[in-house]
Amino acid sequence: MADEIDDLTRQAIAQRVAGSRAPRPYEALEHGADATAPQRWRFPPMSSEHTQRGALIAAIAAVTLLVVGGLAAGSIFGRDRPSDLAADSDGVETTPVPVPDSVRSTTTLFRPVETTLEPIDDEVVVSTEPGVTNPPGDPNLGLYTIEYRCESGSTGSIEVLVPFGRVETPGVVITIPAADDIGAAVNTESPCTGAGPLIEITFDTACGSEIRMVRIAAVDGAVPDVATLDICE
Amino acid sequence: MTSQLDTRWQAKALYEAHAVPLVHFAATVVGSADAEDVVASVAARLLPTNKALQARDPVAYLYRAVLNAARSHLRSAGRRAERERRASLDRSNAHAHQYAPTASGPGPDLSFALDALTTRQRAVVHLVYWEQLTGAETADRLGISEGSVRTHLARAKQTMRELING
Repeated sequence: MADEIDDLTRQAIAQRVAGSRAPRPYEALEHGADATAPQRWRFPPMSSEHTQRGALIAAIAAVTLLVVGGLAAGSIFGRDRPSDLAADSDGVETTPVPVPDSVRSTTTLFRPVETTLEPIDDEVVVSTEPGVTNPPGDPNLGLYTIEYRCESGSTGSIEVLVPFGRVETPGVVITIPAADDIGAAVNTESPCTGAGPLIEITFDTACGSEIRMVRIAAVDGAVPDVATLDICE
Repeated sequence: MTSQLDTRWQAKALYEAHAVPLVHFAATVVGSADAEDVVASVAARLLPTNKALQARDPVAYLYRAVLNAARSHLRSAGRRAERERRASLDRSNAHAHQYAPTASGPGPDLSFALDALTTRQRAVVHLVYWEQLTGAETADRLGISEGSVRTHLARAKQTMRELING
């Protein structure tokens, strides 16, 4: 029995050995693992059933991608208007309400930077005049440096951020809201407290392409209301 | 430069001297179809790195490397499923053919019987029955004890006996 098993074992080994391929030459292996890649990456032949199943899976995946992509695109590009969002949120269809021009212009001129600022008229536009620098990021505001002189002789300066612009007529430049804002800012600041009443304020602004100094004398220690100011006279 | 050439020639000599027995060894362990691929992958990976030449016993090192590669090869789930399917088919065919070889022909396909053995048992059986190594030589070649060789051999025979007796 033992001999029979030994013989059968040898026969089994012999059959496997006989069916094996001869080893490839050493030169074919010298390039490392790449040499064996083509033989190791063999795909078994696919049956028609496998092919059909693969095509079906690919088709389902493509349709799913199309549907999901379409829904995603619709949600992205179709919901960017506020009216659409409002209609979706409460189920009530909304109609656009016309906005008056005054409201529109005011919204562009209100700035929460300074408490002294007031809405200015529609005709005020962005200044392009030299001598007045716009603060970064806000072309509608101008930074005025106001010099003041007190009765005791002390002087100083206050920087006031005001809306500015120019009136239609070139040459008569200073705007009334700007002058009012400057006066209000100085009066609020009260720079001469303890140094006697305020005597005057001066600041530079533009007259056309020329920079001129504006001087406003104080009345009773305060900058008076300036109705109009022709700085080019 | 000279040492590189020497290394290359030593590696080439080592491979050419043992490539055929290694393919036969791999054939017993993984089957005829994949044996050459397993040996080629081992040779392509090891010979350029000079590891086999630096080993205490380069031949034993290559045999163990082939055995490890064969294990990895057999571990693949897809290959395993296919192999088991083929083994079950072959087993049913072989029972119909009887086990005893006939004098007139090449005899029934017995290679499937080796599938019933473990990887280590196949390696031991190959070295003992095909390369006719002694127990000690087989132990050195595979890096196991001689007692383990005897154990693997006895269990392999027992499995073959049970297979033959049905």
